[in-house]
Amino acid sequence: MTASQTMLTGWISSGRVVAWLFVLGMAMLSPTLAEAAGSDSGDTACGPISDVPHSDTLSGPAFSNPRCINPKPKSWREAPIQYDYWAKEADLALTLDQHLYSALSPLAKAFAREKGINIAVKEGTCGVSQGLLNRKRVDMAGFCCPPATTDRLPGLRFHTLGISALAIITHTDNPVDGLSSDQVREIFRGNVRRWDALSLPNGRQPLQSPIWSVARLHCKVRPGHWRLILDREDQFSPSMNEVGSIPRMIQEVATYQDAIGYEVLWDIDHYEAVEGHKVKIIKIDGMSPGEDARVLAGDYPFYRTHSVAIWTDPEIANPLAEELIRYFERHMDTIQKEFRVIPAERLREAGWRFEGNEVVGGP
Amino acid sequence: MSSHNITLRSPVAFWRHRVPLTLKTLLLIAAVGVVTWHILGHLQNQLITGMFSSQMERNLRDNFRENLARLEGVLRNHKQAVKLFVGQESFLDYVGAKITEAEWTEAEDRILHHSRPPPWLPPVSILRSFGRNAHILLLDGQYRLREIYRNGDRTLPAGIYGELFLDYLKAGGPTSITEVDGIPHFVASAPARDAMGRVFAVLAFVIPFDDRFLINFHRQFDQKGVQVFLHPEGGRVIASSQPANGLTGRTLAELSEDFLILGQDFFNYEFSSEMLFQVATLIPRTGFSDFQKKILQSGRTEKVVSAIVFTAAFFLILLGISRKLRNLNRQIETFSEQSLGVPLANPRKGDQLSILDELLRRFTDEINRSRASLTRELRVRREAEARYRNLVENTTDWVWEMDPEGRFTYCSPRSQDLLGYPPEALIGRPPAQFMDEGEAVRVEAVIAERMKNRLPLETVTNVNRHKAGHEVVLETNGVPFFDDNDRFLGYHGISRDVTRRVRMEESLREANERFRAVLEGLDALVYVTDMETHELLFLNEFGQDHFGNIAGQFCWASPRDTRECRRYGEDDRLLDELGQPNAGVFWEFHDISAKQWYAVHTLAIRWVDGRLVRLEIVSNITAQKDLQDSIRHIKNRLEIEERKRLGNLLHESIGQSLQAVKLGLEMKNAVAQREDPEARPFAGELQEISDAIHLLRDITTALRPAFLERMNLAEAIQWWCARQDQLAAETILFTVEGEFDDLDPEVKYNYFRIFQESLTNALKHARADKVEVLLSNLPEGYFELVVCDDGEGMDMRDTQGAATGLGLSIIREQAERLDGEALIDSSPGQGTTITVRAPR
Repeated sequence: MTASQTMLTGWISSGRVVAWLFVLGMAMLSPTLAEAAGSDSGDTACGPISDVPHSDTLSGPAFSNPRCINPKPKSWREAPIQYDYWAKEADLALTLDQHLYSALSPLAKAFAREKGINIAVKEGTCGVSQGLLNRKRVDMAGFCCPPATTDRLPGLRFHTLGISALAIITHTDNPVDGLSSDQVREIFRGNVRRWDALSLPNGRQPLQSPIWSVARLHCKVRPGHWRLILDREDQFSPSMNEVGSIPRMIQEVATYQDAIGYEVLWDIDHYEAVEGHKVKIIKIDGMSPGEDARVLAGDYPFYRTHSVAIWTDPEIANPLAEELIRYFERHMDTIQKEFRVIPAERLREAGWRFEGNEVVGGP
Repeated sequence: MSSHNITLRSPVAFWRHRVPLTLKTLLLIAAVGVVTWHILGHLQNQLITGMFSSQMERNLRDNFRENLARLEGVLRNHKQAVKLFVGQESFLDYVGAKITEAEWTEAEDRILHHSRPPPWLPPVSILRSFGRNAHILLLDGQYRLREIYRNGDRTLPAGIYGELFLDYLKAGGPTSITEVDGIPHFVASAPARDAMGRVFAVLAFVIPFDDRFLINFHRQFDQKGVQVFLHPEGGRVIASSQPANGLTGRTLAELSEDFLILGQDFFNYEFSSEMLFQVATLIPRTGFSDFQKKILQSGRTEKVVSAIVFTAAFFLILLGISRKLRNLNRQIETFSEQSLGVPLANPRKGDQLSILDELLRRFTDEINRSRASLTRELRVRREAEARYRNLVENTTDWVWEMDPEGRFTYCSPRSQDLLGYPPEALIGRPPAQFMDEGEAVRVEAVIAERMKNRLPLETVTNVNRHKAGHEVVLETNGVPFFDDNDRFLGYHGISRDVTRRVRMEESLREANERFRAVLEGLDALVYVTDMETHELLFLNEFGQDHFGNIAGQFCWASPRDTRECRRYGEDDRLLDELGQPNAGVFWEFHDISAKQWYAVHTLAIRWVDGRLVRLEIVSNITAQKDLQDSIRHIKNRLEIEERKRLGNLLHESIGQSLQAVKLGLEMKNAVAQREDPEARPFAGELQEISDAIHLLRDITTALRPAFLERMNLAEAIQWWCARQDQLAAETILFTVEGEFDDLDPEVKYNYFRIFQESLTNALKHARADKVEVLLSNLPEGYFELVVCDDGEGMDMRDTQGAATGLGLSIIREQAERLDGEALIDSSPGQGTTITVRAPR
């Protein structure tokens, strides 16, 4: 049992669930509270994305409006950067989500050695990144999703480092080798409930069982990668099984023959190597997620975006952060193969749309 | 030693004696180990099985209780959720609108079905967490079913629509488990009340406890085993978390073969269930037994390693003990062999303890046997010692022994005779004390040097001073001797009196010196060579003046050629049949190139060191030879002149007289014929006188071959052959090769004389029919004359050395005058060939 399951079980079995349900009930009763709790609303306080200039350059649900900045009071704006305990002696403090941490922390350490400086790197998530930025505790933060409006703080600039293709995965015994993107969406929507409702090519027999769809709807406040499958959380089936972590997702799909889920290629490789969970990567619309050219061309529909944010306000900006971003960009090719990340430079070459250094639309 | 061999007739004996102790113990340990291993393994198995079963059962029961608690928690959550759902604004708005718009009338009994979450329910994300397994029913205030949200693709049981179920909601609600169409269903309902407390709507969760519910429940909590719901009647499975396994419908009795079954409690949620059913968790026995095996086998590697380590350690200890025993056995064997001289011939391999036992037994036997034989040997040895002492004390040689410091430690009584001192006077004193000072220093140095290198004293001659004052020359031989540890203990040896021999050798040496002096004084080359090695042992001063000091060189073959060893042809003639020197050989040697003559006298003698040597004395006799040649030349000339003179004398005196007589007789005949023409009164006398004149002419021609003065040699021989051939027709064949002009008349005369004598010998003595004469001027610088006939021949053994026939002597003599040689080859009936060859 994973930690999240244990926690959930504990919650359910304890009296705390009552309190949670109370909060939940209050949230349902109050739209304001629901919004404050981080509803997946694509609109922001500064209006829908279509209201902003050049909105025609933005496409798809995977991106938010980069010009829509979360307003902050003056006191916040004037507050300096104050490192946490883990970065007290550092010249540069950064937090990276679990994907970027694996890929970039060696580069950050190499950069520190080259510069002769002390860099403190903390592993986290997009939420942690947002929290530490919001509390002005780091010079740089990494996100595995495009930034939400709540992430766009005054004086903060996002740099897209690259994208990773999102693979749709099944159990290795599942005879399904490929699906259309619509079939995927219908499965997660709950409209296709059984494997034998799908017809397989070459007369192959599908599983005679219901579909056990597994989704990880993390970063719900952000235009996360899962939103390329279904835009909103409520569009996913009520009977869909939601998991809280990448290993749990891969474990469930690797364990249950009737399961279907999704993760980026590097996670699939990593957890197969580390924990022995083997899953099958199926083709979508006849394309494999490993075909970078099809991803770059925008043909392959599912991907996630990796970006980092640094402060631009001269009062609090750390010049080393800017240098480190340049360093990352120069070395993106070195991590491309291992981490299956397609660098931003190639996105530009492929015609992806950028607002500054941030990708805001596909080709 | 066959009696010592251990008898190995039976396997038991083989096991006792031949199987090594180490192997034997190891086998025993292995046997005991295997038995113990299995016994302990069995006990451990039982113990662990008990403990494992107990622990496993406890854990599984705890796990099962947790599952029950989780199940109750899930149901409780649904129960709470339905209450919250009823109170949410969207629900109230929807129901309020329905009531306001009077859509829910008694007449209107249509039930609205939803496959997607209807608006009276909260968002999907919340529904997914709190109502994911539930069909949700919306009823009006009269508990009439108005709308149904069907969760998933499961069909609703018909019983839900029945009055019985609806009455149950009214009567038994709000929360319980009831049976619908034979399937237990969890039902949680919450009424919505107005301000007056009247129910205007009811929301009910209906959750079928079917496979789907258990799958969700199982996967949500990642549970172990298979969760099943069982019908209380007969314990049949009515739902399972792994429906694909085909468990549905099977009874507990059937499942117990394959599964460990936990639970079976009657599930009675909050004691408000209308239907009781069993909840159980099935643990596959394969996994259970595999796990048990894993536990049992978990320590096996460690145990095996421990056993191996223990066995290896024990083996090493045993190996050490066995090696010690083997060493002990070898020491006993060695001791027996070295001390008793008896090899015990014990087997090297086998049980060393057994071998030791056998060894000690044999050793004891040998000790007893040795003691008896030792007594016998002691007696024999004492006798031998007495004989040895007697031998030593009576031998003519002086037997002695000295310590490492060179002092006598033993002397035989012979010392009294040799040196005049009794043994006790010598013991403890070094030999040098009985020598003159110079000799003592020399002998001490010799002894010290030999002693230092532990070398034997070999034929050390030393001059001692007899107690009476005269010198005694001893020849001493000795060998070093050592103790068992190879420590040098001194010498023991013998000395013998060689005074007389030494004196004789000195005399001989002096004689040799005198002899050498004589040889040195000779005006001739004198040298001595070893007959075997050809080493030049001596060359007198005369020789050294010519050849330098080349004494000591080997293969010195002749005074002029030292390049190769040549076996002297005359060596055999120098020794008699017994290999002793005889009279020697005298010969002359003519060095043509140097025009020197040498007289060589070679003889074998005994050299000073006793070996046979070749002594050669070479005298230059050229002057003598020249003198001889002169004499011979004069003699030759004289002979020629004499012959000439005789010839003239005969011719002028006797010949003239005969001619006068003949003439007188012819005149008398002529006178008589005038009277009688037929008268020949002196015819006979005239014929005799004519023969005499003719014979005289031959003699004078032979004595005075005047034709040689006008002819060369070939022409003279040709003329003579022709003249002789008139006497014996066609018997002579003469052949000449080369030129013979300008030949010295004397030489020409000598050759002609040889030819004359050879031809006379052939024609007159051998009565040959054919004579072949060959005169050659050979390119090698020689003249050669060959006269070959087919006459009677002769036996050369009869003629060798003797002056047989004047003719052959003349031939040889004439050949010598020419410095040449005459070879005469003849045998009876085979003719004779005379060959004369001489330098030009």
